[in-house]
Order: sequence, then structure tokens, then C-alpha cells
Amino acid sequence: MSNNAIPRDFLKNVLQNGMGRYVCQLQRITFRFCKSHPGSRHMRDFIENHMLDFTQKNPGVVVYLQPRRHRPPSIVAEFLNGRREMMEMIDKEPEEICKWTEHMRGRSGVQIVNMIRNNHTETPSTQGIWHPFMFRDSETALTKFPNPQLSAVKQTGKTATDYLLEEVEKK
Amino acid sequence: MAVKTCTQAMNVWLRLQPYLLPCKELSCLRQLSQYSQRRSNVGGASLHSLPGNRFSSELLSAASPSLVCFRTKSTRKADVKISMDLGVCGIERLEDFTPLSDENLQTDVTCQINQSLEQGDIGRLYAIVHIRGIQHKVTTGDVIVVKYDFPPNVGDCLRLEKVLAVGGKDFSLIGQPLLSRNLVRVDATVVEKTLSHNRVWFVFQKRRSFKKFFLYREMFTMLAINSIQVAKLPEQKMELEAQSIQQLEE
Repeated sequence: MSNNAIPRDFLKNVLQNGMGRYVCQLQRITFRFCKSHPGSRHMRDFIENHMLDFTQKNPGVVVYLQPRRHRPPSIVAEFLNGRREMMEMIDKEPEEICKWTEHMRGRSGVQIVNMIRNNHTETPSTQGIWHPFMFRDSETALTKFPNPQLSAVKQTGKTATDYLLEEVEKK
Repeated sequence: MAVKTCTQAMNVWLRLQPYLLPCKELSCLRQLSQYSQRRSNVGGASLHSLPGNRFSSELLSAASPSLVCFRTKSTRKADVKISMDLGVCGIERLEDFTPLSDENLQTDVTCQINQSLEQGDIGRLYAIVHIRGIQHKVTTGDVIVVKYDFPPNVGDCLRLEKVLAVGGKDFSLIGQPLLSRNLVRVDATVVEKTLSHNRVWFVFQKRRSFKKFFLYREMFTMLAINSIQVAKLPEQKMELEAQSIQQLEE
């Protein structure tokens, strides 16, 4: 199983969307259905009862209706980045069709693939990326080694022997 | 008190650690295996009899002690830390931060930060933000994913309140564990609500004609971080605290 077998990509925020103002990335939706076939009856119900609510709530999205004879019902969503997503709506109740249109409205046009990381930054470092000489004294570049001061043992804290010696000294 | 009296045993305990821990686990695992042998499998397969279970009774009885007590370095380290927190073996924790005993130094630092805030020199800020159990290091302009159903709708402006730390080029403010709301403000916008790609949940057990195949998609919400703002730090905080403590004593 190689790395490239499953398509994956980093996250993308299309044109820095939320930074100034949020723009709905859904450009247009087409509801495709058959006027007579019983498979499209839920879609016809949705168009009669729920579609106008959606259009009123989202005036920025263009809604098309495309009757197609003897064909199953579907939704086609087209996004501002030019991508096109089709979803079949056979055997889906009107409530479910509502949910899927809402889903399309909430999406950016980016293709759904395995995300490599759950975040994305253009500026990963604010304090500068660490390098081994960052917090080191630049005087070490001029010192001659071995240096008795730098080689001295560091005091870590009171050891058990120190404690015992103190106890002895008290007595 | 227990901590202080046990400090002299610290070095001794640490040295004996690699030898002590395996013995302790061995004994308790053996007890476990005895219990599972005595008890019949009620209502089908029990935990200890499932194949591939490292701690199953068959493996325990058959395997050598070295195989049985398999503990990773990370688990051992975690146990040491827990015992340190509880003060069980009385190990004093190494100090990561030296507290500023010099009050003048503390006020100097806060003054410097406030000065750079006033002048507008603070630059790009980062914040460590806690959302739904997951922490992210965040700057302005970056995108975060929140998994599973998240109530806010697309286009909503949010304020991320749980901020653990904030910093710039020259300073960091670290909360214990959180910073106050009056000090930091992190604003975000909900940018997208999608589903994940189709994930596979596949379970297979060999020679048992047992398999399950299930495709699922999780709900994701993308948040874009709009801004991080830091307020002026109180310079006379120490004096105020001292006054309040005096009042309480009186």
C-alpha cells in the first residue's frame, strides 16, 4: 500500500474566503427531474414545497430547473472555482434533498479527498524556526576547548548525600 | 510532608525502576490470567479469549515473562509523571520555569509588552486555542478543521474563548491553563461545512467467517482565523494582589 494510492491533499481556503467577508462559493444549482416518472416524485415534492425557501434564503445562488424525460432525478452544483458536482437523488425524500442542497451551499468547490493535516497556515513560524545556534552564546565560537568553565559539572539540586551530610553537621 | 521526607529515596528509586516495574506488572498480569481461567466465558467471547489479544490467557500461560511485560517507553514515562504528580514516591519535579522573584523584572517585562502594543510593533501573533478537546497553534489567516457536527452555520463569526497561550516575536503569555477573556481575543469565521472522503471501516477475523465492511463520512467544519488581539497587561497587578491579601488577613 503506497502513499499515492489514496488521493490526498492539504486543506485549501479558496481565495482567503473568511478573512474580509464570507462569500458563498456555490454559483448555481440545477435540479434535474422527470415530469412523469414516479422516481422523480420526491424531487417534484421538493420543488413544490421546499425549493423556494432555499432560493429566498440564498439570493446569491442561481437555481435552475431542468426537466429531463425518462431520466432519474439529480442535483448538479457548480462552484466559483469552476468545479462541478453531481449527486443522484433517486429514492431520497424531500427532507434529504433539502439537506444535500444545504450541504452544497456550505461547501467550497474544493474536491473532497483525504486531508493530510487538519490545519493550514501560510506562516507556520512567528518566532523564527529553531536552529542549533539560536539560544547559544556566540562566545562559544571564539573559545578554545577544552574549557574548564564550560566543562564544569552543573548543580542540579540537593542530593541524598548532601542531605545526610547536613544532618550529620547539625549533630 | 510525604514529598519532603521521601526525597532522599529519590535517587535510589530511580535506579531500581527498570527492575522494579516489570516485576510488579508480571505479578498482576499473572493474577489476571488465573482469574480468566477460572471464570467461564459468559455470553460468548470474553476479552481475554479474542485472538490477537496480547494479554489473552493462552499467551500469558505459554509466554515467557519478557514477552508478557511489554510496556513502551512512553507508558513508563507517563507512570513516572503520574507518580510525581501524586507525590507517591516523593520525587520533586524539575522546574521548567524559574519564577520571577524580582518584581522589578516582572514589571519591566509587562511595560515592554505594553509599549510595543501601544506603538503597534507587536507584529504577527500566534495563539494556542482549544476547541472540542483538540488544541491548535493558530495565527491570523490560517484554517482549522473541527470534526463532527458543529452547530454554527457557514459565514458565522465566532470568538474562540479557550486560549492557552499567546505570543509574538519577542514574548509569550502562557495561561495556567487558560488566559483570561479580557486579555486575548481570537476571532474566526466558519468558511466551509463538508463531509470527509469515504472512510472504510473493515473488520476481519481469519478462520471465523467474520467480516464487516462499512463506509462512512464524517462532518467537517473549516474555521478561518480572522484576528488575534492582546490587551494591555496590568502593570500594577502585584501591588493590587498584595493589598487584597492584606485586607483578607485583616
